[in-house]
Amino acid sequence: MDKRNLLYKKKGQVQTLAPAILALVFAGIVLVFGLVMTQELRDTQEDGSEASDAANATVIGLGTFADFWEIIVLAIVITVVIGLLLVVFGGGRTR
Amino acid sequence: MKNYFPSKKGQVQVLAPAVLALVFAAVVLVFGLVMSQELRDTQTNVGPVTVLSEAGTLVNEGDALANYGRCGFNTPTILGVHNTTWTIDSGNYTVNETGYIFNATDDGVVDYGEVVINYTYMWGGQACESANSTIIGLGTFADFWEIIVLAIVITIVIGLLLVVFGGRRIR
Repeated sequence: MDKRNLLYKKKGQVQTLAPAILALVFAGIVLVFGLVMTQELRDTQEDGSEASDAANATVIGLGTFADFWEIIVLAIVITVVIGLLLVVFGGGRTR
Repeated sequence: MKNYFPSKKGQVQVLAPAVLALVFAAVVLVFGLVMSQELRDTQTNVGPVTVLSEAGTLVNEGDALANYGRCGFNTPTILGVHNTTWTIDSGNYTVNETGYIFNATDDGVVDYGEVVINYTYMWGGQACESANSTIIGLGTFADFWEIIVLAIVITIVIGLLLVVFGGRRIR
């Protein structure tokens, strides 16, 4: 069964949840791990040096990603819930 | 004819995989949160950061240093405490690991009240703060389980009702 057909089934709607959470958690761990590594790398540089400043900007820039997890989580939940409801109430047209 | 709404048995059979998927997702989520938290807690070695002339109080019940809430805050070391008239002897105060400073005089002297504090501390840096935001952000998923469960139940119940009462047109 292809992915498009899967999305039209109730089972398919719920089954999108686990991979989505897996992807989110994996992305979160990679982000945190990357930030830890970048921060450690930054700390090896002399304060005020160009490398240190650039590494610092990188750490701060990447760190802003962490502020958007809640929105991404909300989007996934809305997708699953609305998808489920559309399968039932959407009738034949949503299939 | 296309079978838009399968049999009653088909409706209920959706339940077991849905619950399985939900439980699996929950386990993955919790496991990921634990890992992220452990990773965050390794970050405690940024600093020392020096803070000079921070206004605070030296009282018996303790007062928090301004930076005590920073991610991974640890090892606060007091460099000196002064009030308007004199420097307070280092034996007259203590600071604990969480960043609270206490009046430690045992001579019945009342609290020193408002003082100026110089100190250093270590913390977890930006990585710790971002890890914290990630944990909080991913953690919000836990607030939505009820809605997802409700949506699954509604889907199955309404699916069943449509099969029973929907008549031939939707079969």
